[in-house]
Amino acid sequence: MRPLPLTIVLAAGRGRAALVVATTAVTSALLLVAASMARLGRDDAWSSYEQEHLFAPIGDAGTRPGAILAVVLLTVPVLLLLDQAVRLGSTGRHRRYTALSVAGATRRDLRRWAAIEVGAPAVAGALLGVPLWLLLRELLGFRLAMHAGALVPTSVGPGPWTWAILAAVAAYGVLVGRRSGSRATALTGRGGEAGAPRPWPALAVLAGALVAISGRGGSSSADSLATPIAAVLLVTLGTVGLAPWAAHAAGVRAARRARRAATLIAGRRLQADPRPAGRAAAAVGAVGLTVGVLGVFVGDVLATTDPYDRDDYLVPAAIVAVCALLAVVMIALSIAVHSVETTAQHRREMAALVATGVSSSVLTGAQRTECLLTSLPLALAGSAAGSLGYGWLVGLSPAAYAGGAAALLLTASVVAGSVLVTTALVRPWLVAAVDPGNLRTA
Amino acid sequence: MTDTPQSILTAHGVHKSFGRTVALRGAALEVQPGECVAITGPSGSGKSTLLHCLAGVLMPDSGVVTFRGTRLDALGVDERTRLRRSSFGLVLQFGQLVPELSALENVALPLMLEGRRRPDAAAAATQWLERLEVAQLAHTRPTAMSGGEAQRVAIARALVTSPDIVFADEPTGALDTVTGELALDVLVKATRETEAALVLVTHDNRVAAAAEREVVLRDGAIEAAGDGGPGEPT
Amino acid sequence: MSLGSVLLGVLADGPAHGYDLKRAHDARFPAARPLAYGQVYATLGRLQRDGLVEELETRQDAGPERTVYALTDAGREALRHWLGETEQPGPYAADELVRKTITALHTGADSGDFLRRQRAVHLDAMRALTRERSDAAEPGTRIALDHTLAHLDADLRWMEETRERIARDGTTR
Repeated sequence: MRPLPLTIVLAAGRGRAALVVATTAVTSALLLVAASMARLGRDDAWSSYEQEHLFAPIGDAGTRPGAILAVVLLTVPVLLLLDQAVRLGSTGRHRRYTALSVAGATRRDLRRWAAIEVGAPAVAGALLGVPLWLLLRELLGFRLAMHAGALVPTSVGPGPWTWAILAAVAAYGVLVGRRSGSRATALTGRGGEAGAPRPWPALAVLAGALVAISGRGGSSSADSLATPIAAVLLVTLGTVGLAPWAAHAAGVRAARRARRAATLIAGRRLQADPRPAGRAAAAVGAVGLTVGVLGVFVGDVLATTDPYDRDDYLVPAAIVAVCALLAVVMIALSIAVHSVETTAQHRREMAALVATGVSSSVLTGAQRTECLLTSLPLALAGSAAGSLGYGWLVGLSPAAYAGGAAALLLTASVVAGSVLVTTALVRPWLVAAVDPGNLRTA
Repeated sequence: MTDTPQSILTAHGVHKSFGRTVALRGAALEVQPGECVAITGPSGSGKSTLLHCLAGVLMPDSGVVTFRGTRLDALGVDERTRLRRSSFGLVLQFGQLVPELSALENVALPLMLEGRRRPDAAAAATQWLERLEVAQLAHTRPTAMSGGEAQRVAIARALVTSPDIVFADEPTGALDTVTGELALDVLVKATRETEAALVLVTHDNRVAAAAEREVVLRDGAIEAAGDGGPGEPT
Repeated sequence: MSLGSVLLGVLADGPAHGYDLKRAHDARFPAARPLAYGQVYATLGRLQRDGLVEELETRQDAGPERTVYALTDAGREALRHWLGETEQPGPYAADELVRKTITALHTGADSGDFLRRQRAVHLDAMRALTRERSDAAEPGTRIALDHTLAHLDADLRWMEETRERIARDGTTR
């Protein structure tokens, strides 16, 4: 007989467990990289640069906190996907938990099982983060150091931080599992109406902008990065907090003005459940921000740096860009997962809609509109904010703005493209959901 | 118009299987314009499957369904979808309204898909909601309605396009007896007023008694008789 | 006529004397009141007068003298006619319905066909009552009609179940 935890994990579905393992592994690897950056020698920046040939912003103790923050922020889309993965199959889980509670399981039991369902793969993923970090160090550390600046420190590892990070990632997994457990066992309030999101997080964005302005007036020495970092953190947190409100508002607006049925459905869906879409859109916004900064940076490098030295900047920039694109893919995946989930939850209504003469293309259109309605504006806003903000911080140059504009275009097309690909990918589930078989009473 | 009543919908030799389960074996049926037919039969006799085949939601494995002389199987998927939208209405037992849309939007949806401008669609939807005495729910979402209220909204949505036939699959199945009776009254009266035919699938004799005619489905085929007795035309 | 028809049905199994008829009747309809001998002989007398049954022989095996009765052709015809006829639907039709159905089952008549036609008659009655009810303004009227409709509905469900049961078991024997 299988041990109970394994049985529970398998019952929850292999796809879900695999996603949890993958996302927690990536998270813990990224955090390990960040920790090893933090443990680089503070005293002599030059020696560590010499020794490891690190990418300048990482090697330089002054800019290093910014680099660490960037790596930590990279975990956000991954964690979003984790959150979405945990919701996967929630309808079936609700049914299973109901059956289990009829069979005599208490709500505490169920919460514990839910924690195991997600926690066990999360522990496995967290542990897998160590080999993944070693792989990253090999590829982006030793190998990259030979060509350009290394992105992952090779002289130091995360050391004792390793345990803290592994424990934190695993604990986060357990926590997410427990939360999903209490959601699934809640008898009422499924898909609950938590009320419309409020725009209070805008205050954080405002504060961030104020911090940035006040910081710019003072000394702009490379050592005082605290102000920009604080500004970036405030703006990021504010934007993430604001995103559900923005999604809700976009939904209401779109639904009110809708002329096409697809737009109406998309808008009302956003209005009814703005949080998942908002979270995903916030991540898209963060990626937009990164790409915006990157665009200006690359434009600036191309315009001002001697061609001989360019690779030192461009290769790491390209790697960051690849990371950003991977993040978009992650987010697109999380949107896809969410979309599959909502479609499956409203299987009967969907099938009924098609039976009454709504073609499934209208539903795909609604899905596409729903995704674009939130992610595209935030991606553009993030990208614009990134390029303008960074351009403003480092000083203006036309080439830098050209790079920013290119980044804007790139972001928009990548986001739109991944939404199109995503909706096309989940179409089989949609078609299955509208099958007339779902009209049967069950 | 011809002087003799022409069947608006016909089905002949309809067979349909799901895997190894045979749901229909040669079912046949004719529906006259404006009449109300009840399809009854024991559970598992294929009632819902027949209804879905008649409504062009499912395609039979063999056999022919025609609407106004046009074979449904000769139409493409999109044409069939359009036919369902413009000429058919569908009322199910429950869970057919889009949960995120208000009652008004749910009812206006088919008209918007027909290309009607939104204000027009909303006006027509409002009229139907008033007619079915649920106008006060116009801006309520289905999740906040009672079963009977949701059925009335669903009936409004089925009738808003002025269909030629309304198909109803156990329309009172999820309601208590009294609520169900009222919803059924509304459905029968409203279809009669719009001169639409009504095809009603039910296992409930009291629902079947609301129809002018009954056809009994047994083991996937229509049973003879059902014509016994003096069924007065209404 | 109803008891007479039931006795005709019992006699369709073969000739029998009065005591046998009573026992067979009581076994077939355990829910009904047991027949009194007087009732049996009075009914047989009427049936004989109408030429539906005839005296076959008079037997005496160690006991009282017993007359054995058998169906005449006219009796067989009357039974067939009765079994084929639909019943007046209404509050008192049910008993007759049950008797007829069970008798049909014993005689091997096509109870399926009978039940099918009976269903149509019942549903017609329900249709008229439903129409009446939806036009009725007075709540009392609606409630009274509901009562009748519910009973007819119960009859119909019983008929449906009976058909299912017969289809599954063949007979009750």
